[in-house]
Order: sequence, then structure tokens, then C-alpha cells
Amino acid sequence: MKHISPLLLLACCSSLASVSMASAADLAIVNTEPLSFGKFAAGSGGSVLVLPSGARSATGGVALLSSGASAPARFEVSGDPGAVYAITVPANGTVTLTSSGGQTMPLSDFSVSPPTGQLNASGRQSVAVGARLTVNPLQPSGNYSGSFVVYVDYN
Amino acid sequence: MNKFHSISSRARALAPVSAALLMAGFFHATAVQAASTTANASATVITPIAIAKTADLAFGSFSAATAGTVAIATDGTRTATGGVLLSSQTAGGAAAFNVTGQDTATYAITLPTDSTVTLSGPGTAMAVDSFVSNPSGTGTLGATGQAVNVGATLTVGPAQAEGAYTGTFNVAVEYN
Repeated sequence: MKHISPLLLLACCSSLASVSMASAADLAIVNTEPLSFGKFAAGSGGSVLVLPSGARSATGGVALLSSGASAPARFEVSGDPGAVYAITVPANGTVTLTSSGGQTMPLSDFSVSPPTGQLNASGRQSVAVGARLTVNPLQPSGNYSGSFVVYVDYN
Repeated sequence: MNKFHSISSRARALAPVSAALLMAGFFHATAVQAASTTANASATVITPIAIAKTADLAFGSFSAATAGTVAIATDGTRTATGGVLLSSQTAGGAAAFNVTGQDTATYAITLPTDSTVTLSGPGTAMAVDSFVSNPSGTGTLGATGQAVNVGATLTVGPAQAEGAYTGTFNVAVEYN
């Protein structure tokens, strides 16, 4: 028709736009628990390992104090139900804990459970992250703290 | 002819509007594909544990007509069995140690096992066994540490030669 109504053109194009709008949920990750190595004596030095399962062990001369509770870091991942995603944790030597006196202890061997996950029917999944803390002989006593970044991507 | 021109000009004016609608639609369809967050980490390094002796273990003076034993309890009380007769010349006493470290921390105490400690002197070596401590097994440190007393039992032979007998033993402590 020669008289093409401008309204018809608008209706046509907006309906095309709604078809291409898929209902994809934004991928998000929230930290719910911090990583804690608990209390221990440095002794002749060594390391403290906290696994995503929560198990804590020491190597070398480090003496763990059972009353000083440790725990893995925990995160909540949300996004498309059933979507497969991957978690990326810091590389060795990029994260350290520091005391008020400026003493440091490096973190390494970050581990994730599950390493590649799948969001459940509600689009959620919990993830735990552990790491190894290296302790120097005669490490000065005190409270040490730091932070690290965790990335999540859809596969 | 005028109408034809007016229609085509209206169509050209509309085209850019419809294209903008299509582009807006595609932006809404793209969801966030990656995300990150920060978590805190912490650890507490506690004061090293240490142990220092403040008193030796002493079985005191006694005579032994025949074989027997001399026992020192953790409170220093001395008792004899068999042919041993205690003398008040030297009363003896329990060993004492001071354990220091992180306030409120618990620790395990390790004493010598049997058949590992002897006293040497003029005669046959005498075995020191059945080590006991107070606290027993584990202890809890206070702000100034904790005292640990240690006793044991000495076995005296049937013809034990007179004289002074001495030896050493280790006590170990470790945070648990």
C-alpha cells in the first residue's frame, strides 16, 4: 500500500525487539564467610592448610591450637538455572596476610569446591575456597588479616 | 505527485526510529557473563610455648636392707615399699616446671615412658618409672603460664650400694 501508517511500522519493529529479548539472569557471586586459618604457634616454621571441606592441617613445626577455629571462605553463586560456570582464584604469591606490626604471611595453593559448578534449578550454588598459609620460623605473634578476589564466569 | 513525495519522505523519517528499537531490544537480552567479589582472610599467630624447670625430682635419703621402691607423688609426698626405710635426713620432693605461652591455650604434656630413665651411682643403676604429673596429660595456660609437678617411682635393688645416684629426664609440652 502506498499509505503505510507509521503506527504499523512501529508495531512491526517493536515485536521483533521483544523476540530477541531472552530472559537471561545476571551471573553474580557473593561472599558469605571469610577464610580463617585459626590460631597456631609458628614453632620452627611451616604452613597451615585449610581445605574447602573445612579440614585444617599443619606442616613443619607449626603447632595448631584446636580452640582457634578455622574455616574455608564461602560464596553464593547465582545466575541461570542449570548454567555451568567456573571459579577463578588468586595465583600463588599474589595474596598476603599482614599484622598491625607490618609482618606478612603469603597465601598459596588456593583450592575450590566444586571447581566447575552447575547452578541448581533455582539458579544458585554454594562454593567453598581454601588455601595454604606459609609461616616463617619465629613468625611474630599477633592477628594477621588480608583479602582476596574470586572471579566467576559462565562456561 | 506531491502526495508521492510526501509519503516517501515520511518513510525515511520513520526508518531511524525502528532501528533504534531493535538495538534497544538486543541490549536488554545480554546478561552479565562474569562477576567477582572480595573475601577477607585472617590468622592468629600465638606466643610460642616454653617450659622451664624450677625444681629437680628428688627421692631423698633411705636405706634398703632388701629390694623395694621409693615413690614421690606430685605433691611431694614420699612413700616406700619392700625393704626400703625412709630417712628424714633428706626428704626429697617432686620435680616442678613452669610452662608459659598463649593465655587460655591448651597443651599436651609428655612424660618419659617406663624403662627409659635410670639413676647412676656407686652401684647398679636404678630404674625410674611410672612418671606422673599434675596437671595430668593436658594443661591450660593462664596469663602467667601454668605450674606442672612431676613425680615417679624409683626401684631399689636387693644389695644396692650406698652413695649418691643421679640422672636426668625430659618433660615435653606442645600446644594441642
